[in-house]
Amino acid sequence: MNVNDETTADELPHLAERLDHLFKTVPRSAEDRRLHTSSSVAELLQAQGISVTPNHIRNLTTGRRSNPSFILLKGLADVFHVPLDYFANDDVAQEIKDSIQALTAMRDTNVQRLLLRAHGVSPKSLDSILALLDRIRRIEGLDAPIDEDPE
Amino acid sequence: MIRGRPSAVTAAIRSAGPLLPDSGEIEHFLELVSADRGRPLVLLVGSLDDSVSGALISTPQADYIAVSDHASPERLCAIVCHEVAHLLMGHDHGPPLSQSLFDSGLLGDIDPELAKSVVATRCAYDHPDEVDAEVVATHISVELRRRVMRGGHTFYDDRWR
Repeated sequence: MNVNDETTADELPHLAERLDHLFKTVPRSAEDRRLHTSSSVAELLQAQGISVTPNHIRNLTTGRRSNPSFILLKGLADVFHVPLDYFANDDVAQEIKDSIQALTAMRDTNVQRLLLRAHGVSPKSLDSILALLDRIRRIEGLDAPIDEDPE
Repeated sequence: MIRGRPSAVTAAIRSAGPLLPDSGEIEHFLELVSADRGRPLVLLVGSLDDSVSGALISTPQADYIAVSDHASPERLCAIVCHEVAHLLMGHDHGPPLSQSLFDSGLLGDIDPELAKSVVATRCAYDHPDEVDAEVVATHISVELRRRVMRGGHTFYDDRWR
């Protein structure tokens, strides 16, 4: 997190882009495959006693607002099952994005099962798995679907 | 080695018998397994991260065995036999995909709920028994090798049936 001076100390420079990424990639749950909307997230947060409107959340995703309260930020992290650091720490954000990319590729390739023979696998091994999934999608004639707009 | 193992091992070894090609060639073996299962089994040899020597990836259309292009012919054979052993033993479904991904270590430190949200969960099955699969795999690779060494004939074809 960059803290350059007092005027930006409370702001998260990448909040809009990182929050928007979650809206576009993380379905509501294993049972409900729809993507979240500002309203569905606001409802969940309100149920937790966090006072927020859909419009406020929309402002955070578009960058019109970038200084949410701590409790709102924590609530957003919980809704999308990401650590609070996702919004503030570049390394954590990249790792989460890479993981979501891999999961999305698995889903788009209709992978039903994956068994790896591997030692010391790390998130860095993901690239070769993603390349494999690309090959399989080409073999099966699948086009990677584009996620529908959450709004 | 076989005596005393669970019946799943014996059954898998029996079912492998008719699928072993006289040539002992791995490609021919995969063709026979594909035909027997009525489902393509595709070998993908390609660039894999050094930490990953092989993978079995299943989609509704086919099963894919991925092997690193750095693997020696013997290693390739061992990996293919191991993955086929899983298939012969009926480990067709395995644990839920999100669980496999966590077990694999690929995803780092993310929340299981996040993984479950993105890849739909499926019914839980028992974890495939790697030791049993390796017993079956060893049998298959020995039998394939025996056929290659004998120029396509073996006197022991019926021994395991």
